[in-house]
Amino acid sequence: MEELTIEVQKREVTGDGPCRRLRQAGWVPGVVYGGGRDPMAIQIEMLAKGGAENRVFLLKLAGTDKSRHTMIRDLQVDPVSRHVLHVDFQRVLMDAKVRVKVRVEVAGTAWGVKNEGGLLDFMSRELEVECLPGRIPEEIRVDVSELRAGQHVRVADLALPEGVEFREDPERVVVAIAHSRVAEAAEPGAEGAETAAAEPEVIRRGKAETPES
Amino acid sequence: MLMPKKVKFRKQHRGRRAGGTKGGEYIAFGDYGLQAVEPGWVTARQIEASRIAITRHVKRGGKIWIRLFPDKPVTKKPLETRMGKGKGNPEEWVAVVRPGRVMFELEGVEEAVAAAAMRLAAHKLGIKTRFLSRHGELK
Repeated sequence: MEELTIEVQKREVTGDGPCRRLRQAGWVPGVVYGGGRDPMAIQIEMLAKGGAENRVFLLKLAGTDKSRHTMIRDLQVDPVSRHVLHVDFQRVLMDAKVRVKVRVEVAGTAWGVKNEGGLLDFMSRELEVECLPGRIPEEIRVDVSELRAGQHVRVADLALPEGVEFREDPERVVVAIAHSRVAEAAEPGAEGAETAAAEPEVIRRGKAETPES
Repeated sequence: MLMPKKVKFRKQHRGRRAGGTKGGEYIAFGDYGLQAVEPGWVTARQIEASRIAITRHVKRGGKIWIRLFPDKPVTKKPLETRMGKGKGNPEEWVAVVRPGRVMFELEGVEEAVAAAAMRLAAHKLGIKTRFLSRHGELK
């Protein structure tokens, strides 16, 4: 994955209020830590969320010639507005291996889904790998086109590029083709039972005869 | 319909619904989701109606996750009753939903089918919602 260069500024203010004012002015507050050095509060220009995972960033401190390789360790996003609220960068050494979670991408349509009415059960959407920061794969592709109902793909069945190793249980199931459920017929009966549902049992404390109101 | 098996107390105060959701704000299981964008109470009946609407629309195939549970009892006084004489009887169960909560998730269907199913489900709920897909794209 290609490296991105970002210019950051040292952040002098901390706390809820000052950070809120920074966001209003178009900045995103953040922090850089790790690598055996002290953490440093920073602020960066507005960051687009997509595609930031597992990417190596070269952070350049504005007004100086200092720069550091980092990766995003955590990203706080407002669930409603989708704005990035805060970003954590962790310093990395380009010659030391890191453990990261890489997205799994399914390729093709499974035979069992097309012809047997099966359901693709995507069990592991991310897998942990260990490699040098410059060799992190963008995604792990899983070809499911040959899979029939009841079959699955394990971690051990997947191939990775050179220099990249899995840090997962080899028996972990990544994708499975489940047999289609035919439980729809039972649905109306379940609806009819709703009126019969009484009040739930009340867990009483102490003596059972104590009245509760 | 969904309701707790056991409760500590039969009746609860109404509570407040200020702020955003505390967890459950991202798609955790499926490929598509229906996210609340305003606070509200979602009743067990509404959850069941939404579930049925989604199931019927996707026909066979597809897997659904319901990520809210109605664990709050709501009481009502009987009709034509004078005020006083204590709090009414528990009548229904609701889930307290705050903005950001992903309420339903769906997997194993095309995006257009999922969007249509979620739209039908959204009509059963009393709050504003939006459709989400896994990669964070709003539709």
